[in-house]
Amino acid sequence: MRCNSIQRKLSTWSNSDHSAWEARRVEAHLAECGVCRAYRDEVQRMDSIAATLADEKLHRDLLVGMAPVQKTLTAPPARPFAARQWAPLVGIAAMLLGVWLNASRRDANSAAAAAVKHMDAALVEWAGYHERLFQAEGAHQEGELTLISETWYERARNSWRITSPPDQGGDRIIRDTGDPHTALQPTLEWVQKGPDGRLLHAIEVAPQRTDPTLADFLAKNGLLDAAANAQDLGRTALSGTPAEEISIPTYDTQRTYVWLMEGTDVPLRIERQNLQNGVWHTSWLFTIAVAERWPDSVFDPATLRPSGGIWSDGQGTGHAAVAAMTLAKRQPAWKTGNVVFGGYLWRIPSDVPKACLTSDAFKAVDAWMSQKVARMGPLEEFGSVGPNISAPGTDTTQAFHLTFEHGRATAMLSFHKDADGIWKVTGISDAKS
Amino acid sequence: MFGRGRSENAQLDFETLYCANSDAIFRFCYRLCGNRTEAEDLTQEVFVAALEGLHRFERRSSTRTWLYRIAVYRHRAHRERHETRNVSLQATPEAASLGESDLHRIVLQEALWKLAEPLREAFVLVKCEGLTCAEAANVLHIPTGTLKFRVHCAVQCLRKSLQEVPHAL
Repeated sequence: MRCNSIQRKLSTWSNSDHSAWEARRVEAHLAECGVCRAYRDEVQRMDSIAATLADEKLHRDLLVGMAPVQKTLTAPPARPFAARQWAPLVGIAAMLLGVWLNASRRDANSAAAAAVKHMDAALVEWAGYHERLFQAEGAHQEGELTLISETWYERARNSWRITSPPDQGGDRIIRDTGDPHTALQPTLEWVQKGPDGRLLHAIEVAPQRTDPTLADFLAKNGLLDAAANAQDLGRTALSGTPAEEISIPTYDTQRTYVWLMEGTDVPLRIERQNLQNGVWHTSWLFTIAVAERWPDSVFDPATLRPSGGIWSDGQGTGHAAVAAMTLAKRQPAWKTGNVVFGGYLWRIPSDVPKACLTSDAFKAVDAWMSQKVARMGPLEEFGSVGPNISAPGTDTTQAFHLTFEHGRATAMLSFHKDADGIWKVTGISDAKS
Repeated sequence: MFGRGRSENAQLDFETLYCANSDAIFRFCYRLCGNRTEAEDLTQEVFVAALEGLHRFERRSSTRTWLYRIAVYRHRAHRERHETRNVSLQATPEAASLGESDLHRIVLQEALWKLAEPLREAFVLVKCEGLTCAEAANVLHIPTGTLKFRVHCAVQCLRKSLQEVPHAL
C-alpha cells in the first residue's frame, strides 16, 4: 500500500472500524515506514488537542428563554364547543381511517422493508465477494494496488442521481442508481495494459458468477435489455467515437462525470474529481471497455494477460478498469485456482476438494500446502500470474504467487477440463524459477 | 388519578432531553462558530427546533445525532444570514502566561475556523465530539467515504498550521 493511502486511513483510524486484514496491512506498513509512523503520531497528538478545544459549559439556562415556546407547543389545542358534540363520531371515524391507513402503510412498509433487506443482502454478498477478489489480486499486482472495497457497501447505500448536464435539459434524471462506482465496479476482472502502463482493454470473464454483474445492473436499471443486447454488445468494441458526457452533481468538493456510449445509456467511463485548492483533480477514473467475444476460450492468451484492476499511476490518481459483457462460456482456470487457494486463505476447506478433479489431486494439493504451511506459516495472500492460462484445449497450467506468514512460494497448478467443461485441478508443483 | 397529561409528558421529555444534551450541543455549536454568544443563540435555536419536531422524531438515530444534525443545519442557516464570519476568540492571555498546550490549542482553534465549512463540520464531529465516522456521516447526511475524505483534508490543513508551532506535533 502506498503512503498516501495509509495516511488517509490514519487520519480517521481511531474513529473507524477496520477488518483484521486491513489492520494487519496497515501495521505491516507502519513497521516499515518511518514517515507514516510519524504521521500517525502527529494525528494522535492533534486528536488529543482537538478533544480539548472549546471545552466549555453552557452558563445560561436557555430553558427559561424557551418557556413561552414550550408552553405554546405543548398546550393542548382548544376545541370549540360544537366540535365537542361531534367528538365521539369523529373519534370513531378517525379510528377506522387509522386502521385502514395503518393496514395499507403496513403493506407498503413490509414490501419496502423486504426490498431493502433483499438489496442489503445482495450488497453484502457483493462487497464480500470483491473484497476477497482484491485480497487475492493484491498479491500479484505489479504496481501499487489501492484497496477501496471498504467503502463500497456504504457508498452503495447512498442513492446517486445520474443527470444530464445543465445545457442538455438540466436536471433530467436519467437514472437513480447506487453509487455508480459501486454499481459498475464488480465486473472488474481482466485488464490489458499497454507498454506505457495505460489501460488498453478490459474484459469481464464471469459468465457463471452468481453475484450481481454489470449486465444485471444495467438490465435492472433499464439501461440495457440484457436478452436483446447480449449478442450485439459483446461484439461492440470501443471505437473511439465521442461519448455523451453527463455530470453527477454530488457535493461541493466532489463531482463525477459519466461518459456514455454514443446513442446509448451504457456508461463507458466514470471520473470523479475532487476540488483541492480551487483546482479540480481527478481522483478516480473508471474505464469500462466493451470486449470482443472470443469464440471458445475466454480470452486470447497472445494479447491479454491478467492483472489487478485497480492501480495507481504514481501521481495520486487511482485507476480502475471495469468491464462490460463478454460472452465467454467457461470459467477460466485461474478462477478454479482461486477457489483452491481461497479455501486455504479464507478457511473454507470444503471448497478445495470440489475444485479438484479427483481425490488424489486433492490429496496432492493438500499435502503440498501442508508442507508449505508447516515451513512458512499460514497463507496470507495469493494471486494468479502469467499469460499462459485458459488456453484453448482441455489442459492448461497456471502459476500462483503465494505469500505465507514467513515466506513466499510460487505454485504451478495443472488443470483439466471435465466433462461439463469446467476446469478442475489435477496437480500442483513448485514453479520453476 | 388519570396520570400525567400528554402535554405535561411532552414537557418532561423535552426537559430531560435538554438537561442531557444542552452542554454537549452548546460545546458543538461553540466549536462550529467560535463565538460564545452566537453559540448560545444557536443552542437555543436547536432546542426550539427540537421541541417543535420532537413528536416527529422517529428515533431512527440517537437523540444526540439528531440534535447534532439540527445544529449543523441551523449553523449553516446562520452562516447564510450573516455572510461574514464573526469570530471572537476567547480572551487570549498574554503570550508569556501561555502554557505550551494552551498555545497549541489556540493555534488549532484559529486554524480550524479558517477551514472550509464542510471540512470543519466533519473534523469537529469526529475529532472534537468523538463521533465515529459512520455517526458523523449520518449527521451530515453524506457517505462515510466522503466524511473520511473531508476529515483527512482537514487534518492535512491543520497539520500544516500546527507544524509551524514548536513542539505542537
